[in-house]
Amino acid sequence: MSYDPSVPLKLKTTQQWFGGVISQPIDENSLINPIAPSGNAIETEAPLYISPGPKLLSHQRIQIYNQQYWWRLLTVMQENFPLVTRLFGYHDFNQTLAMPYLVKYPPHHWTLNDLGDRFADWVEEEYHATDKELVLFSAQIDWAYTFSFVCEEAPKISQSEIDSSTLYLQPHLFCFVLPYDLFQFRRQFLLKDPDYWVENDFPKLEHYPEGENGCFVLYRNQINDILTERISFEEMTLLKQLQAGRRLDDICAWLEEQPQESQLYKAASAELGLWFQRWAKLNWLTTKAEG
Amino acid sequence: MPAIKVKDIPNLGIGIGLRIPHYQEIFQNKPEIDWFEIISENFMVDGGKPLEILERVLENYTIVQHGVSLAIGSPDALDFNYLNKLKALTRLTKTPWLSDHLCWGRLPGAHYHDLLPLPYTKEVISYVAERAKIVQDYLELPFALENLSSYVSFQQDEMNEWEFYSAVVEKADCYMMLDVNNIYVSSRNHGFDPMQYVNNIPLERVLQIHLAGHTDFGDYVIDTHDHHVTDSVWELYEKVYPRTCGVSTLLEWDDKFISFQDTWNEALKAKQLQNKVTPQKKDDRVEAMV
Repeated sequence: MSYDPSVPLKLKTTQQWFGGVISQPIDENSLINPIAPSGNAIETEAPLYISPGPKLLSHQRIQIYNQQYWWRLLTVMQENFPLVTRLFGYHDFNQTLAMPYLVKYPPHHWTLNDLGDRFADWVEEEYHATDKELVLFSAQIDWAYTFSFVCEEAPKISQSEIDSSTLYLQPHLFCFVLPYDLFQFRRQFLLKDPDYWVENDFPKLEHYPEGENGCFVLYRNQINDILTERISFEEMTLLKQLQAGRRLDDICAWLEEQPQESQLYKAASAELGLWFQRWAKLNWLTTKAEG
Repeated sequence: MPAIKVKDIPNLGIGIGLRIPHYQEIFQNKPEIDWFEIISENFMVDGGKPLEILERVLENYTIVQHGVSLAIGSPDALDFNYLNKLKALTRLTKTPWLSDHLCWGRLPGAHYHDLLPLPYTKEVISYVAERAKIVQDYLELPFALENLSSYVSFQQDEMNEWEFYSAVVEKADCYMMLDVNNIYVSSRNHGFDPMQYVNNIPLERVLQIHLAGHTDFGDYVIDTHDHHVTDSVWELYEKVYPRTCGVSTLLEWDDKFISFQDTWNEALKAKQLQNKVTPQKKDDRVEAMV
């Protein structure tokens, strides 16, 4: 978006200053940064724009908007990333993750539904503690729930279209390959408020045996509930083939190139037709490419 | 859309905001309530549960749309992708009118997700009124601007809030969504007499009233929508309502939720107050508008 050519210059200048001030991070006591984005003291700069009130000075008045900005965004982040919030507790989630994320990726759309759309990327880029893998998977799963709740429903596919069309995955379907059942862990975790988990032991997160992973699909069903299902590694392999769009005959040709003694080849030879029928019935497939 | 169409705007009675904690009660018991107001943006989504919920509510209730993201006074160009989605939603809800706030909230590339106050100047009046006209024409529905609760005023202000608000809606020929609680909150934060505000706005342009609770921090008051309406605000409502021609009234409650029934009971206090007073006749208001 660009500036409206008819916007009064003085209004634009005031709004640029105001927006810069209120989006600066508040401190741990929720107080405004004593230094404005210009580098001047906020106590001396704010009165140039804001009149003092009956009881508050200029910088104390704009501090209210500074606080509201951060409290609103942090609340949305906590709601959209409930598992990550519980891993850290409110305070640490805000300070360690959400605020740095929002500084790097401030809100870019009128809907708050998109606020966390780059959070998992940010964790990947910026978070380097020893629990990074768990935090990253948690952020990805939380975001999958948030996105699936409101995203588009692409056209459903009929059984007859399976053979003849290029097939894609529904926008609300996410694939996860995890070293532990993080979905079960999440369900248990979400039974209690984040403050509870600051004082109590976390639910047990049981790792699968060495070299094994759990394959999960998160999707939205016909009545718009978000469900998860554990599937076989072989099903996951084929579903991932569909992420970029594939025809069934292309999938079959690709399978023919796989070693015949492989579990993938054996399972697909026996189950392929049933898998596609089931996926179509569960509304995992569409003929429309994402975006 | 000329303002004389005001005569066609119905008084829906008393409503409350449609909020998630009340869904179960609404769907299970279908409580008798005059109407619901929705936050438009909550349903401007591509699919999923929100739209399913909306369609179920529409089966039994009248819905009016109220927005929070238009940000009419922002310096960037009007966002027609947003307006397209908003208009599409109005077709679904059949809202008899819609409203948003007299505020700004974004710069190109930056969204603040707040209702930020504007400087009260003549050039801002012209700028905002022209954009409000475009919005009302584009949406093809009566469009109302709501007064804010505000916590700052600007050094460049050339007038007070009620003069600014009145001038914008008159120049744009649009309507007023009068938030009585916001008048009270701003009166405390800026030190003016709320009745001076009420006495100096074109009340014939009011097509809906908002009520809500606030939080008093002593030195300032915040519009939190998480408490019962205070006596001071009820008193103000009692004075304002009869000077409209009897317009739809809505209670907003957005945090620290209470039960559906308790929320509705709070809203019904407005009906009790309405029964004590006689609104201006609708025909009188229409003539005033003409």
